[in-house]
Amino acid sequence: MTQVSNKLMIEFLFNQMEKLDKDEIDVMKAREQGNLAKQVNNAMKYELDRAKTKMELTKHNTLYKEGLDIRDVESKDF
Amino acid sequence: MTIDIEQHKFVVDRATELLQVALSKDIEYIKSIIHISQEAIDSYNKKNLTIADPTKRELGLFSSKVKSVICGRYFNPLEREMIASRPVSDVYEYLCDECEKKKEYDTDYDGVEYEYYDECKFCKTCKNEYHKRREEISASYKQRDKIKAEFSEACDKTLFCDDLRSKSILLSRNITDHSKLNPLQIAIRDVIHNEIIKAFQEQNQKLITKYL
Repeated sequence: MTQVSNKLMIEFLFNQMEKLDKDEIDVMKAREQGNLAKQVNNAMKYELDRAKTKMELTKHNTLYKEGLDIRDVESKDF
Repeated sequence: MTIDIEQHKFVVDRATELLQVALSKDIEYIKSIIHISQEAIDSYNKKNLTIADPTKRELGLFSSKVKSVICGRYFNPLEREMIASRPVSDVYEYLCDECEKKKEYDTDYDGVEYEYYDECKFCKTCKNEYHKRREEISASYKQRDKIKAEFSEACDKTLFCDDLRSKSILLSRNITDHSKLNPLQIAIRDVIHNEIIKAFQEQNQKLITKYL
């Protein structure tokens, strides 16, 4: 699988935009790639929300002396 | 290469200044120098998909974009929550029947009639209640402004990588009509917004947990 980082994704999308400008790819292809990028973006948003929830949990646990944890979808035992 | 670009940027700046005081016979010559340097900068930008020469306006736009993205994610929901939990929704809501009848009427500059209350005419209880509620509301507004200022300061202090800033400016240079973005532009914009939020979140964890 290709390594994905936000930086690489922006780079890739910009290249596609350039290609679209030069008519090297058609609008349909560009649209589909834009939609796929949207999906990747949703995953990124999920990651940000997860980080935010973790921060909230840390605060909650310190305040109420509880050991609540986020249910980890990424972990193997889930 | 980067040194060359810095030199070209310097040439464009200085030559533009010189243009204002130059003799009329030299104007074309100076313009040709600007043209050469500007072309070198443009081709560098295009080749590296970056912005080597952001203008002051573009830098300012980027910093206001950062604020609007961060406000949209953190401050606005917080503000909505604060307003919803505000102890009083309307200062006149708790007036007694007598005082409620003491409405005054006036017309504004456009000739539209409007109604208002004159607090001096309220009974003692209503007057006290009115002042108490007004103070509560102004305290909650003060608190809101304080948080807003803290978020704004945090936005100014957050360090964003040059690459992200360049890409954001590059995108705005590529957009001709802001109301009609194509899916690729929308995707790039969203990725940039996420990256801004990520950088802010990483560097301002304390501030976020303080108010969340």
